[in-house]
Amino acid sequence: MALRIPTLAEISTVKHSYRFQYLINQTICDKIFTKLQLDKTYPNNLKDLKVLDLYPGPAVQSAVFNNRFTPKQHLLMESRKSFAEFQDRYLIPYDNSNHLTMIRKDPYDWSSFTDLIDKEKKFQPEVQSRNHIHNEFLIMGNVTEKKYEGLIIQWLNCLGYKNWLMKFGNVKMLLWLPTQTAVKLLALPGTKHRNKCSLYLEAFANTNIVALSHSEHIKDFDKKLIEKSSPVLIDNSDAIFPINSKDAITLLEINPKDHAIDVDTWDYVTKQLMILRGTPLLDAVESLGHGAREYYLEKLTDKSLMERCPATFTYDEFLYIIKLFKAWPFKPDIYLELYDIKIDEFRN
Amino acid sequence: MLRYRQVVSSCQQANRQFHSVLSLRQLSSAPSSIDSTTIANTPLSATSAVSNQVPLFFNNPRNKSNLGTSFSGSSSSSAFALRNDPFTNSQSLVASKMTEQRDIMQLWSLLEACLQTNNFPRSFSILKSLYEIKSHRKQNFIEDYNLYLDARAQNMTNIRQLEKLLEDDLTLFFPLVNYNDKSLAILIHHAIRLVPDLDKLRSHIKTYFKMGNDNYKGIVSYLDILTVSDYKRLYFELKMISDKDIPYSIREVAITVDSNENVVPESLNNSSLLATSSDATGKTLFDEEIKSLSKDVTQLRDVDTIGMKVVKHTLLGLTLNDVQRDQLSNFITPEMQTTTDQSANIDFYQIYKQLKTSKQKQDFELMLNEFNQERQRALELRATDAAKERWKHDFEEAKARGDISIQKSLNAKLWEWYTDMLPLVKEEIAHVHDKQLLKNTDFANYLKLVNPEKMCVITILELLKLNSTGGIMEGMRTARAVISVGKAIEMEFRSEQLLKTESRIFKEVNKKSNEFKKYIRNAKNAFRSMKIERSKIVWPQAVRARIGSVLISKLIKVAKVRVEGTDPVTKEVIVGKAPAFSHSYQYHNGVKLGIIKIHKSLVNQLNGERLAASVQPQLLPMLVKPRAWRNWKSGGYFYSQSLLVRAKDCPEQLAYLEAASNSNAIDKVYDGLNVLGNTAWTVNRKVFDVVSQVWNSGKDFLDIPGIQDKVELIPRPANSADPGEINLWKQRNREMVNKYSANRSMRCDSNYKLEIARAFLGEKFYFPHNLDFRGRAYPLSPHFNHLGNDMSRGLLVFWKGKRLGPEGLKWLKIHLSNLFGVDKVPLDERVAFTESNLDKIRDSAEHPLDGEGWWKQADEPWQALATCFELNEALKLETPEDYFSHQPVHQDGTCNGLQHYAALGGDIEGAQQVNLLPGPKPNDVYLHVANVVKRRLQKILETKDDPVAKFFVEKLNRKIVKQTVMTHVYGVTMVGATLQIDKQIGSYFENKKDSLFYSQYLAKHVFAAIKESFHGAHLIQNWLGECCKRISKSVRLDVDQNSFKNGNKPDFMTSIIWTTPLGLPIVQPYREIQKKQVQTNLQTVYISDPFAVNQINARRQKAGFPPNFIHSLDASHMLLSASKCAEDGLDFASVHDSYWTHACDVEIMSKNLREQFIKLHEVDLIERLKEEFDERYKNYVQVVKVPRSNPIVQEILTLREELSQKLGRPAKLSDEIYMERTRQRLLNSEDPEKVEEGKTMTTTISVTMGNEEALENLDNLSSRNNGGANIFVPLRLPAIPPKDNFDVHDVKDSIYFFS
Repeated sequence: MALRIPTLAEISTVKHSYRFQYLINQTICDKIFTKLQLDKTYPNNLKDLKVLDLYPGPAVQSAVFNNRFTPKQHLLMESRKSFAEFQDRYLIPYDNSNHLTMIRKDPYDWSSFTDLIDKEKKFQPEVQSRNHIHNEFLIMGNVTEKKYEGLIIQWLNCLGYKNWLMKFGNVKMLLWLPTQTAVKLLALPGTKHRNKCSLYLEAFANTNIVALSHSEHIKDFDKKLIEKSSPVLIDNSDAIFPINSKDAITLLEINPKDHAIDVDTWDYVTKQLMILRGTPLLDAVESLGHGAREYYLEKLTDKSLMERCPATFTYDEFLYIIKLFKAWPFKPDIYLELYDIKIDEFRN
Repeated sequence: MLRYRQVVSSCQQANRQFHSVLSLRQLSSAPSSIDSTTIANTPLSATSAVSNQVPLFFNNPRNKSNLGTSFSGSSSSSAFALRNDPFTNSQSLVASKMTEQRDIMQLWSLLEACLQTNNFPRSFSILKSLYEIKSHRKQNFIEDYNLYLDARAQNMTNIRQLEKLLEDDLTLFFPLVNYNDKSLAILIHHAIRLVPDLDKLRSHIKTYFKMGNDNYKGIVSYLDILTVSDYKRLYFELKMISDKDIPYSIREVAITVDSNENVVPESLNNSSLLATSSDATGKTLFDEEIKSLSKDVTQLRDVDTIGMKVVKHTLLGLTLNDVQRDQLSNFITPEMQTTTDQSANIDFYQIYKQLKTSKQKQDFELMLNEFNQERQRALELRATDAAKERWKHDFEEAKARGDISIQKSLNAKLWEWYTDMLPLVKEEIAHVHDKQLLKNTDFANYLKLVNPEKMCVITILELLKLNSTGGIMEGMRTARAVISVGKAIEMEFRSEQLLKTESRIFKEVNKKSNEFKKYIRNAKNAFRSMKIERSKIVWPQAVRARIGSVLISKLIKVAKVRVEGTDPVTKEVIVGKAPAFSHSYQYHNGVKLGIIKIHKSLVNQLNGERLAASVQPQLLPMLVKPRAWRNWKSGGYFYSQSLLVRAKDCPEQLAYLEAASNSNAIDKVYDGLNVLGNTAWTVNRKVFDVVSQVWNSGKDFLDIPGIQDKVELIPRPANSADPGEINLWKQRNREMVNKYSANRSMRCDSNYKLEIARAFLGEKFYFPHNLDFRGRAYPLSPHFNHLGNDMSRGLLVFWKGKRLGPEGLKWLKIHLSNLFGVDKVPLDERVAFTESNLDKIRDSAEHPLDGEGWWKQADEPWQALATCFELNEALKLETPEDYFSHQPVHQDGTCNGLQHYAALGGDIEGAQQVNLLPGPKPNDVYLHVANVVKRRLQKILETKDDPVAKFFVEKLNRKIVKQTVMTHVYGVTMVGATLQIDKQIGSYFENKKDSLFYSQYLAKHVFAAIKESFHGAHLIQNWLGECCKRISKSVRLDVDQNSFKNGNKPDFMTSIIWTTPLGLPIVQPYREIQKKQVQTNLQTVYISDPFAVNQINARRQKAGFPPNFIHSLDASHMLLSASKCAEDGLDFASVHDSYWTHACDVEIMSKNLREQFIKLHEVDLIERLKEEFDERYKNYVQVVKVPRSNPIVQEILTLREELSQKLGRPAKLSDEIYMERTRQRLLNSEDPEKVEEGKTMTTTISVTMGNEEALENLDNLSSRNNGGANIFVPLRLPAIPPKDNFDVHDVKDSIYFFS
């Protein structure tokens, strides 16, 4: 064992959790890693693996992972004072075999990554082709504060654009997030929570639910998804830090897909249509641009689409709508739409 | 008839009472008689149902010798306040009254609509509903019934029929209501119409007079029912009334037999031409010839604006008739350049200026006024017709030239939309009744009030005008669009109604000689004022929204633009049509917003002229003197209603205003405001020529941004670029787009101002004014006025010229010096500044654009240029003093807010710094504060090495602190001040963080320096803040339990209310916003409910109070000065704390404004405010949070515990209020036993009552501690801070007070 796992008593000394939640039960961590069967993705028993661990917090999961797999490089990116001090004090390596580094940068800033990789060159994964999940690079992260939902969405956006860490290939992400967010991200067509982001995730990744706290929330997910993933349920009252947290959190395994989608157009069309997710396409479609209704009425081969609402459309149906949009001679300039709102005037 | 007489006699009793009320009302002032009956029921006074919510100072300033005494009314007013039992009206009663009022308003508005559309069955059932509302039945119902009666009567052919209708309705359906004099007036009017036999008619009328309780005078006072010809018959033929019985305003018209009757041919009468309804061809107004009329200046670029054309057309299209032309030619001498041929290019101003004698000038102005009366009317009423005609004209022209022209001409396109839209709207109206059955709404009636042609035009104009509003760059918010269109339709309806009744009343009297027309004009003016004052009905928001949405959805359906695109596959260019407007949604900050987008190609065609498209001809400068303010809702434009105070969604303020107005307490306000409205202006042609030349170059010039056709965006980085880079790209482009759009709207704004100026070249015009809620005056015409930017001000001069004289010449020179920022030196040095630059002045005037351009260096370049022109002309004369100057010369206060504060606080040092004390040269308060700061910093440096202090000791100047000092009075926060300073010093630093750090450091010292110099003022500012804090946290004892959230958290409803020295009640309108959901054709929109009274917004109440209070004082000072100056024969204008007059009159004006300042501050205004607050908030309790350990808190908690035990549950704050209320009720009872019982009671609130020591103690504790228990204590305001020794009378000799 190369890393000492911090104890509950030690973790209790952390002053601020910054409204994040962390799994601190070693046994459950092990159960999760067993379930994940990471060795199937990462050959050589994960010995060649480089791991970027974002917002690791008390780092129990990081320590368990490190001890179990001893990856080639394991980098904890953490800038929050309480957790940084905690890691410095309690995450004591017994020997040098763990290849663990702690970087005091904030994963919130894009520059933390460019500095680390491009400037300081402290973390250099190999670029791999997109026909498989990257087999030497794994991202772990915890974004369980509700207000950080925007950050999660921005990270996921990078799946489509193939930038940020995804420029190295299709990199698997193990991401803790609020269950509420996970429910939205995994909503299926025609369900209540279906939205632009779930559509997005469906388009650009295969996702599994790995674990979740407050097991009663399992019903918030679609049954089919739960059956497919059969997640680890965490109900021990002291398994999650801070103890007795009320809000549920979920661990997702996100495996990016290869794609040839024009993401800007995809983004524009899904955004415009999902604003009116509950309105029949016949009425909603005009928000794609002046005259869109007439155009789609003429071009759509499956006229029944016009009567259905965007929230019920599958990924393939959207692909079809987007294909028609691209062929529309009078389509608006989607980039100009980006700047349409003057924020300051809006406050009035 | 027998039965009828029975009804009569049975009603006698009630009538007697009614009549005594009526005659009382007539004594006060006739026009407001209707209002006074409605007071008790207006939405407004419903809020003020609580005793304190009536202005306390009811004194009529006119009856008092000076203002000082007018303030001493608090003792009598307290008697007034006590007359109402404080416990009879609780918060919930207020709420229910508001709801009732909302119901009545909806019924009224619907009744009006149904009567207009002759939907009598529905009208009758609405009457039944109104009758069911008890409070309404008593007071107002008969007025509603009269409306119905009059409408029914229009279709009747027999007077008996009408009598029977009245009899049956009142006996069978509305037995608890009596007819009134107006009902009888209706009977008389129709009897005159229906009974040809003179004797029979006389007999009918005699009966009606008798029914009026032998007092027929009341009956014949209804001049909105009885027409001029009715009066003529009653007087001449029937001899049943004397001339004195005819309302004064039309008496002359009614009893004068015009000798020229029928001599003047109809064709010469403009008013009849204009009064024709819109379906008349109107050819005379819009024929070809008129199109070529121009004001003879370089055509401005971008003139293809929709709205402006309408205006210009209306203004120019009114040609002089032969008589007028003859009259005009009397004034024109051969040497005058102007020609009157074809009425083109008449520059009234030039003619006027060249007239020699004052008699000539007087005659000329009389003639012009006559002429302008008609033009003003056309301007306000003919806008939509003119627009439509214009479109049609351009369409036909474009059609003749071919298809491409139609695409290019915006007007032609608008005509196409109009013609396509019209049948859809007509169809909607035809079928709306069928739909209505399904939806069960009464909406259909409203859709028939304005003719469909007009509705189409209004919809098109409104939508174009709304482009780029609400933060949507190429479109608008749906909610705003539907309401705007609905409101515009409503406004049109109102104006039409007014015109219609006016025409009816004056039907017979239009064909008269010119001399006689003057009488008619006066009579009409009086009539209009009366009608507008009486209008009380507003359409419900939901109706506006629905009308708007129906019309907009039709327009969306038909309005198309031509689009060009490339087929992505074949790469062929494809031409097609796309909807010009489309309805969609956007997310903003997580909120889904409905928007109406305008197609890009149309936006481009509007060519950045959204403002230009938004011209509302009704809101332009007026060609004649505005209707004088005599009443809180009557003044300003001819055919549209403006309120004295712009109190948007604040029913409370309106209630106070109405009460103050009805008791004649604010006549001084009207006086001052009328002075501002009566100042005649014209456009400075020389400046206009320079501006238009610059404009047409399309280049950047001073404040005017150059033409920029489109924004060049940075191309998108590759998809794989780092997200940080992509974000940066977005941010940069967004900045560029915002900058572009800011410039564009700035250019539009200038364009718009210029267009109006151009339309008014050579005209004499006026700016009607009203007030904001603090009492500050603003012109009602929003775009081009003297409150605008430097360019607007440079474009305006007084119509009247006055000989400079030696003093005037001096002041003109000082004015120029001031405009160059040389305003902090003694007057003779300013004169010297100008005199040392005479060459440059000449060069600027003679070569404004091709010379040295010295004028451009001025702080206010356009105004400086105007002054250069004026000086140059004067100096050309042998004796420049003889020059007749039109240039307004300004006198500005030295940081006027601080002047008032210094006077309030009695600060000697402060008073000196803001020039309240006489001195050899003006003091510069900003320099003073900068020096104080410097001294403080130097002191720091003596003890330690502080790099920040060192930096500022070297760099600090007046400019760095100026803005912060100026805005300190208006409550700028530390953050705000830091940013202001950062703006000034930012360039010294590379890193923004450093700059902000330094700025914050300095801001603290600036605040401290102001506090040091204006100590008394500072204490007062704090006192105002503290008062506000406590009042915002207070509740009335009669508050209802229902208005406590969970019983423990009261809704704080108390606004800060005060009365200005002129008697104007001010209510801070800051409340939480509550919106109502309305379903429309397009989408569901959320609209604020004008009848809702919500919780106050404590933060805004507090932040707003000190500055608002000071503004209410500076506004009072301005209005007082305005009245005095007018008394002295001066022309007067103001921009808040900058007062303007002719150069030769500056000394008189200055003397007046010093005297008025003294008059204002002779009274201890703060003491007065405290008295007013003490009176108004007398029975209030305040919530404080105090530590439990305090003995008196312990006592309260024990009492609370006991109360809980009694109740068998934890006592809530609402229970405590209830207990105290019970105690007080017992104490106030007439039963001695109950009084005794009350005396034995102790409640959690009574414990502290009268215990000053304990309360003092709690005050101290509550200010320091955040934790503890919430308790109620009686609301007490802190003691007034001590005043320093400055004597305001010293202002009398301070020549630099304003300079």
